[in-house]
Amino acid sequence: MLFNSLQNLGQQGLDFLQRLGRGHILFMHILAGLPGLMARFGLVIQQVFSVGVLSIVIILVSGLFVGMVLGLQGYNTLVDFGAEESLGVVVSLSLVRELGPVVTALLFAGRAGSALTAEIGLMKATEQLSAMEMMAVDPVRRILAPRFVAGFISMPLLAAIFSAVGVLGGFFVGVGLLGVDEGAYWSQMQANVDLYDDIYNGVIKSVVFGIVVTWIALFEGYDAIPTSEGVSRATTRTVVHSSLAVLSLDFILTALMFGA
Amino acid sequence: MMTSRSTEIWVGLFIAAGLAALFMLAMKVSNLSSYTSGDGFDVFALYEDASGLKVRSPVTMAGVTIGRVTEIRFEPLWDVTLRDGKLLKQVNKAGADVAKASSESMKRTFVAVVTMRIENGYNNKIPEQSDANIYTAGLLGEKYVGLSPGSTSTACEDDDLAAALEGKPATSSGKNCQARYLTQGSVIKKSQGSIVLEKLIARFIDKFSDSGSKK
Repeated sequence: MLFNSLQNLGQQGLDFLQRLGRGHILFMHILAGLPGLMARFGLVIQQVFSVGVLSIVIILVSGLFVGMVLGLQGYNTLVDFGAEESLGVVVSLSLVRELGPVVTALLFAGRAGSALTAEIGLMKATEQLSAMEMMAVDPVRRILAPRFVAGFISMPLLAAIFSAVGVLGGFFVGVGLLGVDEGAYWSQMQANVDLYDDIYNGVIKSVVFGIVVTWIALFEGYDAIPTSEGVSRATTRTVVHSSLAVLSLDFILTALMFGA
Repeated sequence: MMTSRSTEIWVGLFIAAGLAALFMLAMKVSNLSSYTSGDGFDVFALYEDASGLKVRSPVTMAGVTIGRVTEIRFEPLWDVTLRDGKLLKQVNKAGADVAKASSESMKRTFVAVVTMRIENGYNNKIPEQSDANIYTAGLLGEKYVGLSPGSTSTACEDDDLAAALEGKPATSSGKNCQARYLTQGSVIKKSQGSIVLEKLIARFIDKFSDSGSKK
């Protein structure tokens, strides 16, 4: 009994380490395939379309509503201190520093990451990947690398759109609905948001999240058990693991950027 | 594989929208737009206490930002005057006696030297006798330098003042009496530093305890 459970534990640990290793090998493999992509950039454009353009609607809508909620909640708190003029600062700093990159990454994992995993998992299950190998086409370079680059490109752009729309949403609620002074909203924001400290760091965060989420999604798809159950499990794992990775990485990055 | 034209157009739109959002964040949300272009003229002011003032704090006149603080140093008054010939002359004229006796006290007097860069449009337009006081924006806001214009002194008035301090008769006979304005390297003589709340409170406590002991 004892030995069985010990064996179980050891097996799980080894499995975990093996998956980690396979993931890193795949990552290196994808990176090695990047230079060859320059010659066939059309592949990347197609993937930017399915990863980025198709995610725009969800990003726009959620960005707008997150910004509006921030405006409403921020106003209710700030008005107690007579500091409702600072609403612009509250909304923009929370969006640019945290919510923009993080919520976009979570939505990106749910919308684009799961699609990537399901697509690649199904390709594997229907033996399209093996067929490619038979034709001496490297599926990692042909299928995975363009998707990775597309995620890398799309994620910061989506996060920027999210933050910009959120700031506008906060503006609509704060200035339009609650009567914060329009000039104060923008000028306080401009006085307190720094291009390097806040916006660049937000962009760096979103780039990191883009890499991590896309990597996890691609690996889960490529490593999926080629059955319908396996693909569905892999898709779930993509969403769960990339959300956890994003949230924990966010803490580490925040501690590094904004001082621990 | 051929990518269809509409796909490419959509991707182009997406990338343009993303870059536009980044641009908006940079220009409209952050302080990039309020960076001054960097050209301007440097003006100095000496403070006993410049606490709370930071590099890039605004310099305002009548509430309009006309420049930024570019440097805040802390050094003995003597070093300041020695290194900068112009400054020496100015401090001298302002009434500080730079005779040997006072050089000792100047070596022991430390001041905060605040360098402000003011936009070129205001070159030779602000009277040299202006005050540069450190104010606080709002109750808890950040510190800024507020210039308020003073009278336009003339070069010969300054000479007369210096002469009077040295006990000589006024020498200027009305020649070359042009009004003086702030320009590159000017020193603002009237300057009041930050008011620190703790000092203010300490002063009150002192006063109360004094009046208490008298009774």
